[in-house]
Amino acid sequence: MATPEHQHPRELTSEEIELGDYLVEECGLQDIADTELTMYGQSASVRYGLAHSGKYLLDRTPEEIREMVLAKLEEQKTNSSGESTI
Amino acid sequence: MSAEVGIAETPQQDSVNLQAEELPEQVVDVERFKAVPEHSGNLQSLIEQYRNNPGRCPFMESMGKAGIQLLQKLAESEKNPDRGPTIRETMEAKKKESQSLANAHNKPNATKDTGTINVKKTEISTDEKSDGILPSDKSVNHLLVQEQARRGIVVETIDPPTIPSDMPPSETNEQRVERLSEDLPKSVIIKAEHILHQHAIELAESQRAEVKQIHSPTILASEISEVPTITQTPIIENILPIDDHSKSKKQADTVREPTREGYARVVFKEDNSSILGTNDEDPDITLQVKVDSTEEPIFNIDERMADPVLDHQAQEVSEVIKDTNIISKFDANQADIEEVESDVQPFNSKVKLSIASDETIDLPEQVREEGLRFLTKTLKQREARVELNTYTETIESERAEVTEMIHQTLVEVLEASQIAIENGEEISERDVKKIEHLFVETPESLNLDYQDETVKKIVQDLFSPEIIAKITEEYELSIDQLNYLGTREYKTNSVASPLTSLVGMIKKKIESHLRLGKYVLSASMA
Repeated sequence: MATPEHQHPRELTSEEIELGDYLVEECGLQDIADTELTMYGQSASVRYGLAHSGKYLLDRTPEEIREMVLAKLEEQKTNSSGESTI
Repeated sequence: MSAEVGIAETPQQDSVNLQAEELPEQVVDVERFKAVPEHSGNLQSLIEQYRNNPGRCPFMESMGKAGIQLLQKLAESEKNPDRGPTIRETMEAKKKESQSLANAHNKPNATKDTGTINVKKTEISTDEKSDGILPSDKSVNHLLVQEQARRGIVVETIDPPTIPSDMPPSETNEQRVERLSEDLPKSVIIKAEHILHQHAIELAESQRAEVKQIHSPTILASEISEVPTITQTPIIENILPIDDHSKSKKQADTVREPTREGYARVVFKEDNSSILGTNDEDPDITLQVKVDSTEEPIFNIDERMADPVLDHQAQEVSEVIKDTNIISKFDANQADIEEVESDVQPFNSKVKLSIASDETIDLPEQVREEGLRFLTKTLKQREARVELNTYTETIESERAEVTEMIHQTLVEVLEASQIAIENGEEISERDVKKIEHLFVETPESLNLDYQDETVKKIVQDLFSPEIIAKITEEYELSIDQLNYLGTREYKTNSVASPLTSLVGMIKKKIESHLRLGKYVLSASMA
C-alpha cells in the first residue's frame, strides 16, 4: 500500500483532466489506461498521471510520451515491493 | 502504474543521482543539469532548470533510474531530424484546421481552390515565449510552410483586415454586448409546445423580450431574427415588480396584444404566493396556480432568490415567477383541466393547478403535460438539491465534492437517456439495463473490493442511505440492484444499439470523475 501522502492526489483542474484525456487518445494509450487499473489496483492511473503532468509533455511527441509511459510501467513491474509510486 | 510523471514517490537521491558514467556527456550535461533550480518546457530547459537538484526533476522523481535512461532517449529524440510533431504542434495544427473549417463553413461561396491560398500575415512577437501550453507561431508557421511546400501550394500573403474608422478602438466586451443588444428583437415568437419549456424562457430572458406563444407553423424560434416584431413594447415595461402589486396589476392589465379568434390569452403574474392567469378575450376562462394558503407559507421568494445553495435552475424558476409576464395563446377544443396537485416538500406547501368545473381552457395536451412536467421536475430537482447540500455539509469536503460529482453524473445519465427517449430513439429493455448498470458500475469503477469491510463502509457512507433512497426514487432502481454496488463484474456490452454511443459518451464523461473519486476513497482508507 502506498503511503497516505502518495495517495493524496491534488485536485486536477478541468483543463488538466481534458489534457490528460487528450494525451491518452493522442498517444494511443487507451488500452493501457484501461488495463493498468486492473493491474495495479489502487495505484495511480495513466490518465491521472498524464493529466497531472501534461503541461510538461507538450514538447514531446506522442511516441516519446508512449515510451515514457511504457518505461514507467516497466519500472513499476520490476519494483520488487510492488507498491504504488503515487 | 503510473504514468504519474509529475508527482511521484518521495525522491530518493541515491536512486536518482546522476552518475557521470551513466549519462553520456554528449547527451546530458550533468554540471549544467545541477545548476538551475526550476523546470518547465522542453528537455533543454528541464536540464537547465534542474541542474541544482536533478532529483526534483519530475521525470526523475517519477522514474528513478529508468528516468535517466529516458532522458537519454528523449535527448536523442530531440536531435532526430525526422522527429514527428510534438503534442504542442499537433494541438496547434488541429486548432488551425478547425478554424479553417469554421471559416470555410462561414464562407460557402468562396471560390474553388486554384492552388493559391491566402494566408493572413501573422506578426511574430519578439517576446513569444509561450505560457507552457500553446506552441509559438513560429513553429506552427514552420509546419505550415512545410506542408505547403509538400503539396506544391503557392502562398500569397494579404494584409489583415483593418478596423473600420467608426468603430471605437478601445471598445470593451461589455460595450460591444450593449451595442449589439440594441439590435435584438424586443419580441420573441416561440412555438406553443415550447412556451413552458425552460429553454424558451431562457431564450426570452436572454433577449430581454416578451415571451409569446402561437401556433403558426411558419414561425419558429430559430427564425426569430426574421420575424417582424408584433409588439414594440420592451419587456421592461411589462415586468411585474413584486413590491408593488397594484402597479403590477395595472401593468398587466395594460398588456394588449393582437389576438386571433379561437385563441385565448393567459397572463401569469406574481402575487406573493400566487400566480393568476386570465383570459382577456373570454373572462370566463381562468387558469389559476396558487399556493395552498391553509398551510403556513414559509417560502419567501426573495429569500429563496438570495439563498446561495439554490442552483441556477431553481433560481430561474423563481425569476420566471417573479419577473416574467408570459402571454400565451392556446387552441380551443381541449379537455378541461381537473386538478393537479403535487407536494413541494422544501416549501412545506402545495401547489395547485385548478380550474373550476364550468371553466375550460384550451390547453393543448402536449403543452399542458410539458408544463406540468417542467414544474414538477424543477421542483423535485430543487428538493433533491437542498437535500444533497444538507447531506454534504455533514461530510468531509473532499468526499462531499466526489459525492456531488457522482450524483451530478447520475443526474446527467438520466437526463441523457430521457433526451434519447424524447428524440424517438428506440430503447430496448436491454438498453435500459445498460443505463442502469452505469449506476451500479459507479463504485465498481472505483476499483474497490466491496467485500472489504473498510471499503464497504466507505462506499456505504459515500452513497448514504439518503442518497441511495433518492437515486432509487428518481431512477426507479430496485434496492436489490443498489445492494449489488461493487459486488460483481460488469462490462458494458459494446454491441451496436441505439444507446451505444450514448453509453460511450456518458462513460467517457464520468470517467475522470470516477478516477478522482477513486483517489479520494483511497486516501480515506489510508
